[in-house]
Amino acid sequence: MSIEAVMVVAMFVTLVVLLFTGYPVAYVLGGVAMIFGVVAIVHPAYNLNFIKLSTAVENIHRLSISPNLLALPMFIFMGVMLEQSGVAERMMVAMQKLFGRLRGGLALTVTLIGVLLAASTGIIGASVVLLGMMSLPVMLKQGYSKALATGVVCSAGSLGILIPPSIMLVIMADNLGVSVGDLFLGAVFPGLVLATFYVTYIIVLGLIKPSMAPISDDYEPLRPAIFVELFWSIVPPAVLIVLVLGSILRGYATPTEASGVGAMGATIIALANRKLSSGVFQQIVVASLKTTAFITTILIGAKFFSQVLRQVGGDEVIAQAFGGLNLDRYVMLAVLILIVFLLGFVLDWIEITLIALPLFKPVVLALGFEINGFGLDNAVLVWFALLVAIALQTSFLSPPVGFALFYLKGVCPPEVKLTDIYKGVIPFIILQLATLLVVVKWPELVTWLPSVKYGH
Amino acid sequence: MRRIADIIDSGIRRFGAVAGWAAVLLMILIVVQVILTNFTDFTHLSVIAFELQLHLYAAMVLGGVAYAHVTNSQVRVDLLASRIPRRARHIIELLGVLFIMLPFYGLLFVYSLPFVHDSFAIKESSDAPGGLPYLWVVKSFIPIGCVLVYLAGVSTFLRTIHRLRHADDETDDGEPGEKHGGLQAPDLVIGDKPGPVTEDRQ
Repeated sequence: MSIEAVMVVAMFVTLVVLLFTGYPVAYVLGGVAMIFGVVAIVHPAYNLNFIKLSTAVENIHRLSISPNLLALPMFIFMGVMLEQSGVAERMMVAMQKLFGRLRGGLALTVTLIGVLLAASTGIIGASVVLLGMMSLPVMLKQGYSKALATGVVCSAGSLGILIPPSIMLVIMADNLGVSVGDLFLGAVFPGLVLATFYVTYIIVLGLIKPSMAPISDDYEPLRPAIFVELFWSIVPPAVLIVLVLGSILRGYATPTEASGVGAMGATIIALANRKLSSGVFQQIVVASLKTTAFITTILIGAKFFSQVLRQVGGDEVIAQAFGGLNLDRYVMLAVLILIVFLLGFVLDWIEITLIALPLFKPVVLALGFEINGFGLDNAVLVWFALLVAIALQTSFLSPPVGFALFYLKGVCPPEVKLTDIYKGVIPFIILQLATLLVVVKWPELVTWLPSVKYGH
Repeated sequence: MRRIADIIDSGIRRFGAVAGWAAVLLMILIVVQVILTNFTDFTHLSVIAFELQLHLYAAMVLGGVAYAHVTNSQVRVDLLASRIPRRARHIIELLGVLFIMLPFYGLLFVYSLPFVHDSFAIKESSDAPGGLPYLWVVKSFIPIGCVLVYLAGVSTFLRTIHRLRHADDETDDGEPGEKHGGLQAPDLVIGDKPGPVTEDRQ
């Protein structure tokens, strides 16, 4: 093995070992990079002109004035604000009245609200908790199987990371050098395909295994008032979605501008719902800062890690390793996605996005995919980013450490065991993998909508 | 020792409580900028609004590291770590601060000084036409952020030593990665009932 290969392997091994000590990811990334940067400086095989640790400061500076990343705190603020705005509660109450009487209706309600929340915020976690607290007691009381109830909540609650506006897509775009708007618009149809799969699964399951989703007959009779209530509960999130995604699609605003406008919109909704006391406002501000801060801290560490990895020859080593395999391009693509999927079992999306994506970029470009991009710049990269995004979505659900599972466990009634949740999410993970295959087969699902923005 | 740690932490927390409002200001500036660019001819003002956003964001990013540290919001992989004894976890924390966190941010600090100094020396201004004139201000957030992180690290160091010495004193929370099972969930999850956000952990 060449010295470069040894260094790259050693860097990754050290990273994984130190991560499992439980020391914060952000510091481990930076620390490992620092150690190997120094090793490369003193090692005679390296040309000192290539090993410049001081570049780290320029990278951080660039990060701290990036107009794209400016959208992060805004989308986070918007998400936290919307969770507190009472929008989801109103929708849940109204939809349960209407759909609760149908077989599987409560589960469908959760999925539909999950989609609407996902399209108006970009963070998960809070969505899972919110959906769980609002819907689990009702579903369990009506005799839904614990696995179905928890699986539905976890899957619907983590849609936010795929369906735009999503902070994961913002970070991916920054990392791959593609437009945030393209990724947002590219994610719309894959997100809808996934949601359609969820809905179909719940309906079919209700038909073939009615015992898992029993119906109850103590619902009030259908009155026009129920439809009116439902309509007014959907208006606020619908307006936000049109405001944010619509203005990006029509080219009225950049994603960053849309994020600020969306945050303002969420604040106005919360005010209108009378949920915004000054104390709550202060807490929303603090909660958004914490989230922004922990993400940017990881960004700083990961940028430095990627930089040192590149300087010690990481790009060439990875490209050679994959190039040497000499596989069919679709097999190669499958290998890359499989790596992302497997990493998702132990790491979460931030580290995977920040470290694996830049390494995979040249590999994917070298594969020479010819997809129908409708004239879109970087069509292959946009498509690949979305495939990774779908694969990473599963990492939220995949036992043993999926984020969504633990968020949900925290708010479950005690009779629900972690194993129930594990069992519940498996069908949804399979549906996500099916979505992945659909998007591999039909890249147009990703590339068409962004191309509309440019009038192709 | 713990007193010093408490003082540092509460200082950074207070800073954070103020810095968080940068997000609100940011939101207002973006809306103002969108209105100025789309509905008026004051493009000069809209450039200033945009540049101010970048300053605020930079301050949030670089001040946020220390804030995330003292509020224990950093993401940890504690799949295995949650199963090792408390004492061993404290030792990992101590080694981490000494050999990973402080050297890394020390390195950034050392390299950032000439970076800021060069910018100051040539009176570097923003590339954007009509942009704000002092780019070194934004750049100087890097060393300032590093100093805050250093303080936060020192506070953790003192606190951990205190915990190692007084193994039975578990009055204070904020143990490394004890809040949740797997990946430590940062504070995206707010409170345990729908409604207002829970108090800042202390």
